[in-house]
Amino acid sequence: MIWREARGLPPAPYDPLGPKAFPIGVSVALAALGLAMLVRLLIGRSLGRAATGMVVGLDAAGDHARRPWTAAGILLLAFGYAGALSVRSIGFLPATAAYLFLSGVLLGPLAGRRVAAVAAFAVAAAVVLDLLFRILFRLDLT
Amino acid sequence: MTLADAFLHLFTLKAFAVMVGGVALGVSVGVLPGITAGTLMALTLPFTYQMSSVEAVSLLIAMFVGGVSGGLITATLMRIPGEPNAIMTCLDGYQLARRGQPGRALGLGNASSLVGGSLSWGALVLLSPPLARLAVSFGPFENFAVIVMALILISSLSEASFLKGLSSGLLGMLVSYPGIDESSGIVRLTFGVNALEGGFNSLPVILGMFAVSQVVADALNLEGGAEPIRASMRGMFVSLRDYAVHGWNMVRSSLIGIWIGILPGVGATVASIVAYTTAKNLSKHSDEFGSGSEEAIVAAESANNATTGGTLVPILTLGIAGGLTDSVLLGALVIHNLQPGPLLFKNNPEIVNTIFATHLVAHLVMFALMTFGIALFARLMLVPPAVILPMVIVFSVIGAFALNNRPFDIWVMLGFGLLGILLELARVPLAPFVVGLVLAPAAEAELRAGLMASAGSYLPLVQRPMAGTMLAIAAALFVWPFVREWRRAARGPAGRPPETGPHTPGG
Repeated sequence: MIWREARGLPPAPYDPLGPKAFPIGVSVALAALGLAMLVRLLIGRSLGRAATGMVVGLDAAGDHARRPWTAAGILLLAFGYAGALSVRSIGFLPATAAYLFLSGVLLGPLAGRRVAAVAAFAVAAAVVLDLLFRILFRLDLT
Repeated sequence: MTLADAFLHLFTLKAFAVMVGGVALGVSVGVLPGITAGTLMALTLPFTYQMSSVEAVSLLIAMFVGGVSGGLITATLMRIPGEPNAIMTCLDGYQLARRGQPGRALGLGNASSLVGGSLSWGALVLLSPPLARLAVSFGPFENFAVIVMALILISSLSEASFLKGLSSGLLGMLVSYPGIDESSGIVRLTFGVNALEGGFNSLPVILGMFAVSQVVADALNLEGGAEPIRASMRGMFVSLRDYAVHGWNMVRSSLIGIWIGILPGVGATVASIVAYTTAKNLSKHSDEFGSGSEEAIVAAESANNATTGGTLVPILTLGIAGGLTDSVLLGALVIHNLQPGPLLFKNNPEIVNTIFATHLVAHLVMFALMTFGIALFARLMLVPPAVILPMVIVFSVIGAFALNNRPFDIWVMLGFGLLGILLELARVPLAPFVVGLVLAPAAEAELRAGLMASAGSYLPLVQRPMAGTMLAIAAALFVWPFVREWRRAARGPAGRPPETGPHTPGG
């Protein structure tokens, strides 16, 4: 896709390479590496593993139960939060309060007092953040 | 601004407050399991726009130092590495704390961190200027060769899978291409999406890959915590006799940390493992390692703090970064319109001297904060993830949005968050991706400038001694993993090293 898009770019005057050479070269090299990895897999060779993860705990299972549905839920809520912020009529404050509340509930046990505490924290944090960024930093968070 | 001026400036009220705040925040996230100094620095980047470059750099270096050090607390009191580099401290720090000496374990670790950091400062100040003087004579072909060498070095040195590492680097390069080509002004690779005309800004990409991915990883492991051991200042003070007893271990481990720090992409975690193993092999009490050995704590903590100075050497002299935190630092310099690399010494000596001065003073501040504020920092371990994790997402969203006031960057951040998770699950290293993303525009600009000057001839790439040497090293690094594999295969299964360590059943 990148190769096709880059091929259509016009040349630049006095520039032997132009704007398309690097995207084409890198995409071809990437495709070649992908092919090499596929061939390795097909002949039964391992691709190896990164020695150390840069995101802590994503793959290292300990002696505790993992919660993939919670992790997926957190990611979905983040996408929902971004969607809510994109709708200007919703606004930063209600979107943030709702996001903090739902995430807080998702991450902890569903006990009545705890849910109330999470709700209080969500509203307070959203108000403070709204004031901080809208008034102090003059950021139009809408 | 000379180095002395930079030190004096650091002790003005605002600069000192920024630096102390940075160290305190760094130590705090070091204490919080899962959230790393790199995440904090990525989150802070958008807010540094309001600051001068000197303040921004000082803040980020202070966070870097604080973050590397803070992992000690959680490792010792909870047996969880607050930062990945504290993994070896978990083994012995926690055991010593369980034996009723948490202050002793923390005090030794803190003192070792100070020694490691201070020695690495010496290396940073002594090594950087001559290396930069050498690098400043580089032309576009040499600069291009350095970047190619850095990318291949990072892919081959730091991780087990060279092919995956190189793919990650190339993917990062591709992500940097959409938008306006700076040399010709031609808009490229937007696929008809208007928002892409400005390209992918590196900040939302970095925030997504590290902050969002980290939150998801933490949500996955919510129940992995342990009951923390209480800590106070008692035992935090280390005597001169302790320095005498552990002095050689501190120096040796620091030298290991400095050297490993200079190597792109290897980082503090590997440094602490190597220093720990070396200390164990040389110790008269190696049987105590793993059960609360003071030597072990000293080795691990000296080495991981010593990487902070070593890491800064290639960033400042060559403009190349290998790990997450150094990639963020590199990105921060670029975002503040500073050119990392040898020209930084010539064009922005105030930035270089600020980095030097902050690195040392931040270690002293870290030592004081950890000594006197240990009880307070230890309480941070009790903050529930239900509070921290959603707040990290909110700050990431604000940070990405604040860049250009457009929701597109939030989607970019989340999209790259998802990509980061998928790459990490496939054990594809992320560091080459970030390095490719940050350095690709410079690589392209340098080669194109060089070719325009040489009327399209590629020969200077091999004819100029430095460029040719670096490309030869890059070629050797490229070929070496395949040669190594071929030699192992030729030797057969008996020649292969054991995959799970030296212990065999019954052995």
